[in-house]
Amino acid sequence: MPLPEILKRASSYFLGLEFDDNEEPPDYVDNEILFCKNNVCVHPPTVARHELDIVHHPGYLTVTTKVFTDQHNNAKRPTLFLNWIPNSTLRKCPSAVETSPSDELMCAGKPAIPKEIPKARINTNTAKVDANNEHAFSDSSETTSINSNSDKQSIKSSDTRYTHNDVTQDELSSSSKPTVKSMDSGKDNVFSSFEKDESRDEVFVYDKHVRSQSMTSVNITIANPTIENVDLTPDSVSGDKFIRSLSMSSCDEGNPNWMSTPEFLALKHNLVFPDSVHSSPVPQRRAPLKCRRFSVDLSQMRSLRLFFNDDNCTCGQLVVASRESQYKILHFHHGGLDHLAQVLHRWHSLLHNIKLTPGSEEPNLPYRHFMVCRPEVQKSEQHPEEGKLPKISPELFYGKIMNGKGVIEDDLFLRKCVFFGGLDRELRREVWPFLLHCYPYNSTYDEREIILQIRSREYEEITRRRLEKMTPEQHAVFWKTVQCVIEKDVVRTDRGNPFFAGENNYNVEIMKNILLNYAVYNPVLGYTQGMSDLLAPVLCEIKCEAEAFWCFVGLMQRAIFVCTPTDNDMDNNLSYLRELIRIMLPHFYKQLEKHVDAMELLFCHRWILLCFKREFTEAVALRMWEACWANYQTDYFHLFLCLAIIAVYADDVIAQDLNTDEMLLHFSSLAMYMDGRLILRKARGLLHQFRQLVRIPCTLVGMCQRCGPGIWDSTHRPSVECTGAHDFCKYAVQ
Amino acid sequence: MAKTYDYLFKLLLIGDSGVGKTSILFRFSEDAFNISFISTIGIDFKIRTIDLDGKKVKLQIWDTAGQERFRTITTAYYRGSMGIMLVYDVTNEKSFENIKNWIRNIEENASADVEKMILGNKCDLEAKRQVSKERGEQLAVEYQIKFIETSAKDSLNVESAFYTLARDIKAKMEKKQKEASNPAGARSGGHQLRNEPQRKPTSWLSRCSLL
Repeated sequence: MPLPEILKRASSYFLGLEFDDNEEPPDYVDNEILFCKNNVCVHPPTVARHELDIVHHPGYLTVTTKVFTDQHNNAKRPTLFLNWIPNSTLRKCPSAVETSPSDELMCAGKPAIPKEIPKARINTNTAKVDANNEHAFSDSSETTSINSNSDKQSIKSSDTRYTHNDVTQDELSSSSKPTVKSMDSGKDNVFSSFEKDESRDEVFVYDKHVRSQSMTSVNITIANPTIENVDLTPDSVSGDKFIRSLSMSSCDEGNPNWMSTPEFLALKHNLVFPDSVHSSPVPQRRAPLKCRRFSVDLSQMRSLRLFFNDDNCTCGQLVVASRESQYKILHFHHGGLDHLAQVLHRWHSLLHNIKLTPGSEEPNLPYRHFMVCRPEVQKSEQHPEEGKLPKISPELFYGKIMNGKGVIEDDLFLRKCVFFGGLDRELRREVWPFLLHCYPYNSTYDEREIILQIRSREYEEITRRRLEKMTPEQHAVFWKTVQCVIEKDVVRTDRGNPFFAGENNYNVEIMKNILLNYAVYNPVLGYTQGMSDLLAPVLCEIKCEAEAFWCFVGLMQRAIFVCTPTDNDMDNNLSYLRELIRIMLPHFYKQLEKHVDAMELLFCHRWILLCFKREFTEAVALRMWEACWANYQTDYFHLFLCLAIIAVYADDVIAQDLNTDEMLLHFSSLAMYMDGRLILRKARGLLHQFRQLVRIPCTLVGMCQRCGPGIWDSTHRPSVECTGAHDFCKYAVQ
Repeated sequence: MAKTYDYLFKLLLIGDSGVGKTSILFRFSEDAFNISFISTIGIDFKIRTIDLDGKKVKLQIWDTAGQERFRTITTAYYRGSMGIMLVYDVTNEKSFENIKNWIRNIEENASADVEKMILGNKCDLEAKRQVSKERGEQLAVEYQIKFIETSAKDSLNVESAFYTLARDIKAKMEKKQKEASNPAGARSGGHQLRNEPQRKPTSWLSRCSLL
């Protein structure tokens, strides 16, 4: 049973700590503690036959910002460091929290004293005394108070906000107080302070200005000898929440219950992080497993997933997976996971300059299943020409691609470079009109000037038609069906872009005029919502109204992906996509077959309509637009992008067996969290794979016909097989 | 997976483009408001679980573009809907006039027993008002639909509107369940059931038992 299947109710969000070339790294402070939480447990992998066998190793978790300087180009890269220190270490070396995450722990080399290894056997509400352990105490709980003159106030204020008061637990703490005292007395006096008023569980979410440097000392109090693990108490586990399948003994005879701890499963599949860099995982050691300090750079991890297992979405597991697919599972039994989710979300938003407020991209609170993932495309999955073509720089463009007269002699080379390598931002103004068929590639500077003159006059004529030549009746209809909608849409299109920002921005007026004129120019299509979203980036680069209009015409007519938004075009696109899924992603196709109406692919509508504009940051989305406009090897590259998103991000849909509605929610919550560069690489790889197919179904023949040279021009032609989907198919076997 | 709710209701927001459907949804699901909203493209929904007379009711609230043209989307949108918020903008006469068209749209696409409610949104913009509250009430009486004026911006009546609609759906549902389980009422309930397969589109009640 693969881990994802056990870890039900997973994830939706994605956080890629990557940067766009054009984006400046956000403002951050080195070594800033963004999150910390005590009593985050690690359960060392054991053959747990009962819930009693689960050994809890509580520890202190921090998430800290860190700046790395790249050795090659001296570029600075901010990242998050996750650091977990077991309480046993903290007890020996309380300064461990203070040390910088990457520093080696001073006392790490000390031989562990057996009695100090926290060990707890859990029974319902009572701690079982381990016969081998003279101390029946395990530090399931401790109160951390941070003394800092400057920041005490702010920390205190966050205390009150995030304190969970649990009466029974407070009582337990009180009753255990004398014992704790006596235990403390034999130990380091760091632990001697006992603050009864403090709740046993705290989450500190620091304000941004609280720096780690200001944390001068950490007092830790061991307060509760009993592991009060609410989640693991059979009575409190309701239904079949996944925590049960993870940690509870199962009544099912046929299903060996020792299979059920995630740690054991990870161990069995060699998926466990080595305790230290030097040691490799050794299954089932006789000696009690020691849990050592765990510290990783989150940007180097393959995935980071948060699994909530309570209704309030506060408790659960954080699963960190390395690129080698080794896992570390941190258990949040006492809440705080929700705050970690917020911190990660905020960090991601900060990096990508994503506005947290606007509409549909907002995370849906009841579905706060967070997934931070850095999936990778294997070399074998990539297009063979991947990485072999340069990004087009002005030097390359004016030096090699365009000749002295302004003619692009080898447009295929240009399109291929755009497709694989991309286009320098400052060349958009020059290259986009070619890609959008406003000018022919083989035109000279002089010819283009003449074309622009003619087209400007034509554009003026359209404006005149709209303003002067309509009858009052026509005008009334036009106003009602077109103008009203456009006026409402332009004021809410890309207003975050400085080019369109602010009140009474004239560029918004230009956008409106272009859309109104387009509705006059193409009355059959008129205006459909979404067009303003497609026009805005073009206008922002081209700037000249008439030229932007004709580029937009090209965008709407020639670039098939935008398709005249009619049912037919959309349906065609979706049926091609369905067929592509069927032959290239059969596992996902099975998932679609399982659920009612899932074949409608509702989650893809916006991807196709706006060409991924709302799924990725603008810089990445425009890379995708250009890759589509390049019409390289296919006119339907947008469908391969859809396919790539599904290929990369649909594992969870299958693992969790999401239904139609949940799929929609899954993919819409991935918006702005996906790694666009990876998707581009994957999509190019999928296109290559498709072109390698020996046979294609007759349903995809239409997709292979191109406005330019055929899709199979350079390589071979596949044979076409009739699927029997059409009544009269010329490919049907007679 | 165990149900974390007692009822699941699918609700829709419909109305002209720009009347504030997304804002209303955003106010209800996130308790927030943003003046510079982007137009809704495609289809989207948000979830909020509310407590209604001791029962946990999960509301799945769907939002789509006011000017949606795609049949696939419209069909999916209306499919299985139990409650519909008809939204107009009190500062926009046309959006109010169109409510009648939207009601016709509902009759064509939604199940016959869908609960409806009319919302006159943006009532905070008193200076720009084009549609009086009385006209809204009058229209509601005409169609026998509940009516309330809301402001997503000022968080006025949004909460109570959704609670009212959810309560009406719950009451209707419980009444039907009671009829179905009560032997005396079984005859009338059975009568309805016999009719059900002929009804098109099918009632959401039949779907509800699956949830």
